[in-house]
Amino acid sequence: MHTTLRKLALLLLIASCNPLPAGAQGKCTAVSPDCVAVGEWDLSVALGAGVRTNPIAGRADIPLVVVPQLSYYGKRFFLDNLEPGFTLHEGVANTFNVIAAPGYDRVFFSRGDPQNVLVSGPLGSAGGGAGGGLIPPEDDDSPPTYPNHRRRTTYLAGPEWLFSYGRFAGQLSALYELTGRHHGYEIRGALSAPLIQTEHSLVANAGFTWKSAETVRYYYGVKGLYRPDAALNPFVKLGYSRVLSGRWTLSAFVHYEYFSGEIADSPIVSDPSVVTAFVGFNFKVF
Amino acid sequence: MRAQWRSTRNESLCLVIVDQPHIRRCWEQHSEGVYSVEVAFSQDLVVQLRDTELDRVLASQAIAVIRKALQFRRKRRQPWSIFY
Repeated sequence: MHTTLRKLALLLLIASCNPLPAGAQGKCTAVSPDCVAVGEWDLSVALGAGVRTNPIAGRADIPLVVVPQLSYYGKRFFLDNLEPGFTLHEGVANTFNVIAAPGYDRVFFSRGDPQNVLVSGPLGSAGGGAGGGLIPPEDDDSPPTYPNHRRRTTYLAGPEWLFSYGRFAGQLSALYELTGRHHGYEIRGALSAPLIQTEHSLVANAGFTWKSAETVRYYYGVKGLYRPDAALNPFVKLGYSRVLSGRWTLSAFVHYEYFSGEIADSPIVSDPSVVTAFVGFNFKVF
Repeated sequence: MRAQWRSTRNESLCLVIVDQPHIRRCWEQHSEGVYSVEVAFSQDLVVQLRDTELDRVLASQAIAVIRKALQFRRKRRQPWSIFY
């Protein structure tokens, strides 16, 4: 892990010493899907239909009905939904932040997770609870049950590098779990590129999440039975939007994440991938 | 900036901008006048019509600078997040 962090630190250092060519997006001069006004709150709510599949055996898929988005960008401080951060440097091509972000895996274990409560509306009955006890069987043909510990809300924090290169935008972050639940690490990286930029916007994303052994064991390990190592999960995401008026936007996205064998081989995991899809109308409140 | 004045009788007067002495346009015995000039300014401008000796202010009009200069910055993308 420390070797990986050293490599990441070196990568960040190289990036800061050799500025990349500015992207085609250039400097922000007006509000757009990629640019926000400094010092103003932005609240919007998407109403629609979608689902996030649940890879945990016996757990129900997560419906997506309401997707609120709240953001504030000051000159340095920002809040982007559940992710606060502080900008150390912002340039045309490179930006360096320190951010805090929730651990995403808990959404599969607890319908009460903030990331689920905010997007799913009223809590459903299927798969409720905080993740303690036994993984319940789906039916008589289900695999055997396993002792299951409670997965609590976690937050990770660390540096983030955002960059643009030509028509590509990228980000890389190295995060450490600081809420004291598993003391694991995550490295998140992604590249995105616009495929269509007319009145229709279609953006493709591809990336990965690397989770340290501590992180993977906290969520997918089974005491005395399964002790996984670190895992690297790739993903792709396609996002579409079309502005309909000053307040309304048609939005849709589909996100596919594939689990590394360390997670997919866990006895509590029944599906090696997660698909999240949503289509709806986004209303800008202010 | 384009300034236009009109009077019911002939006047001899000058159009000036406060604190910009290089801008001046005078008329002798006219009942109306138009003056256009390119001017850059960061503070409020005060445009005045004065008599030809510049002693007496006959009319005055202020042009206010709109100060709400918005700054913009790039928004992060969160491809991992459910929030788009």
